[in-house]
Amino acid sequence: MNPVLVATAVTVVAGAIVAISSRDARVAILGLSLTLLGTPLLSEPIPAPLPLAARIVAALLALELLWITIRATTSATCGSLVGWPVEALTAAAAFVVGAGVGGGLATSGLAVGGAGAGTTSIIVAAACCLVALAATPLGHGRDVLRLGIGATLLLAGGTTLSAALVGPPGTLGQLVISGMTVALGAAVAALCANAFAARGDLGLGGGRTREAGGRPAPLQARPPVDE
Amino acid sequence: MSFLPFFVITLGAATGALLTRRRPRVSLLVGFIGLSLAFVTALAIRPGETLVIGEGAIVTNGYGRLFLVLGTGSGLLVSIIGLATSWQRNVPAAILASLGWTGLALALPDPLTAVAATVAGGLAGIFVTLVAPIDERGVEVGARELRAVAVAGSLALIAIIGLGPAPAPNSVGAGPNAGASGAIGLAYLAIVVAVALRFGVIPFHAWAGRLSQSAPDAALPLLLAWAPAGFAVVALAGIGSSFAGSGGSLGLERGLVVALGAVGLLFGTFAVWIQDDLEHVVGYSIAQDAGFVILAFATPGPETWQPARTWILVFALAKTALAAWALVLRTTHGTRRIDHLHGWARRSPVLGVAFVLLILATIGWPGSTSWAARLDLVGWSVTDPLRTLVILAALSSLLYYGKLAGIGLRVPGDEVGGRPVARMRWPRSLQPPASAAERVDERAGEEVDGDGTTEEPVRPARPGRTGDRIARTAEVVTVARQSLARGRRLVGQLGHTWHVNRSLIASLLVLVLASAAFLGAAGWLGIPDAAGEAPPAATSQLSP
Repeated sequence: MNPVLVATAVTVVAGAIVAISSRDARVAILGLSLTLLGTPLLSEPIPAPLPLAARIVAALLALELLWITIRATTSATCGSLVGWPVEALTAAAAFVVGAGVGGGLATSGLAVGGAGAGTTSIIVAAACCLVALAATPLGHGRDVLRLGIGATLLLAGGTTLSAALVGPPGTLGQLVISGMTVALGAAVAALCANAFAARGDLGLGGGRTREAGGRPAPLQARPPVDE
Repeated sequence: MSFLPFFVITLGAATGALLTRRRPRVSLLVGFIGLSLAFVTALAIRPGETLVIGEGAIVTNGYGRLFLVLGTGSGLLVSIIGLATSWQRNVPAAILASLGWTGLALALPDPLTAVAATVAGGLAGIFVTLVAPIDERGVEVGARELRAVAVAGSLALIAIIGLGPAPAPNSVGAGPNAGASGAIGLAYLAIVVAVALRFGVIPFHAWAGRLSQSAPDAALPLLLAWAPAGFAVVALAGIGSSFAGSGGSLGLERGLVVALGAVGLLFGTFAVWIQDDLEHVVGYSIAQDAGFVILAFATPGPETWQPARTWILVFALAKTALAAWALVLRTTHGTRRIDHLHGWARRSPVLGVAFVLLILATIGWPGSTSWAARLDLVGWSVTDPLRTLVILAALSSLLYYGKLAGIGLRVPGDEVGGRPVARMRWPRSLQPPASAAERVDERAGEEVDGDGTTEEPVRPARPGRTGDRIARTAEVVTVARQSLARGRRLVGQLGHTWHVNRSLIASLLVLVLASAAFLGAAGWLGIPDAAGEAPPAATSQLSP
């Protein structure tokens, strides 16, 4: 088993836990950056330098768009509904299940990615973690940033799973995934900016964002509508 | 590679229009020029070309070309209609970005990469849900759109992985997943749910209903028809070859898919019937007819390939016309409530004709392409007596179309707002030549045009050589100034004509859209031939 791959998988999952648990949007984006920058490396073999560079640049661009928006609006989000320990335990459970499933698929010949059983199980485990962690913010996301992070983790999980089971995407596939990442970042950034313009925080429906200390965030002055 | 100009123009113009959105005129210009160029470059796409990038390839095909030509053409018309009625500045940019990515998806033989491209295209739709003035409801609808696109895309990705690679042409058995029929069944259901989610088919209709209420009307064709249609075509291609070898063992799953499609068709009519505003009628009508797309997944394979892809294009065209009809009707009569629209067809006969055409396009008539496609999709999915029941459910949409037509043919009530324009009105300077007496009268006074400019008379030349040159130069300058003034006057007159006839122009454009849908339903746009092309070869990373 490749120790670098294991370290990358752990980093990706840890970043995802931070991204969906933190109440400070800046920390959440930092966690998301670990996930987005790490997922292209979760494949065997590692992509060629040019497609890899495209994935990294696309991830940085998406994160930059989010960063700019959060810097101009607010860094208070709802955070995790259940707290980071529960999220971490969920990730651990998904990791174990994913590793078992991935190993089983690889040994039975159902995974046609070409990687060994150990490698496949690690990558599938990381992908399952991302999908499991995305469930709560997507299902019950009470602010747009958390919802966007959930969508990003879900799609990252899907692409990672495909890399594990049917092999890493080719150059064209990597370029398309890069475009999708940028589009996702731009869409979430636009949603955040508009949510802040509409109600003064990033909340959705009855959701009220909280500051890092757990206090409800003060509603900020509503900026003039851009039209 | 004739596809690349289209892709570069669509994404470039979309980015340009979004970046210049704080300057509405510039953004508008970029968007419209982009849409026009995209239409031209889509026409120039040559089917059968291959561009190899790394291990993957972009392969153009006739169906993708037709999809993009009709998509950009109808997008351009809808944008002009939006400009004439209730403008939202992000509409052209979103149409461009979405069609650019969808075009790429339709040209990719690798289904996983194609799904990623459709997700990128679907995300572009979020920008049109954020309408000005921005409010919480708009943000919530955008968030729901994001959720639907991400969940459907991920489901499709995982489902295509679960279905496994297509069996190799010369292999003895099926693909590597042939033994795992349970996993294939789940993957099959997942991809159908993903498509149903994108279309808002009942029971996944909640977000689509809210979307139709809050999103700009001009964006509804993109959000609820074209982008999901591209996704459905990609999903059909992704599922078709993998499913062919194992379809016989998935009776339960197929039954569930047929039930989903039939429920969507039947309850869709009920959902439309109980609505009292036009936007919801459009939204739920789209969701209802998307039930046929779900039925196409009940027997994915060579036999349903052509009717499914034919119906998807006719459906997208007809629903675009329906959304445009509702938009123009609402702005012309000043109300979106159906019970306030008594006599709309009498007062807006152009919209009445368009309405008849779009009904014919949607339902078809015996012998037409859309009629045959709908019957084929039902016929391949179920047998009698269920077949008859599903056909009746499909025809039940005539009930709400008839209700709308009946309201339109009643005597106009006091509630009908607005004053629809019956004929074209021109500025005085663009009117037909006046009589000789009138011309004399006009010459008597100083000629002042609509924009307030006055034509300057040509001055006589001075005598002498130097004087001649100066005189000629002055003459040229004067003529140039006059030409410039005439050009400015013409632009002003056209702008004035546009302003006073917006309602009528929009109605005529709806008629054009409905006629295109009608021609498509009749099989005159080449849809059946393009839809009958063979599925893309499995040159994907899924191949073992």
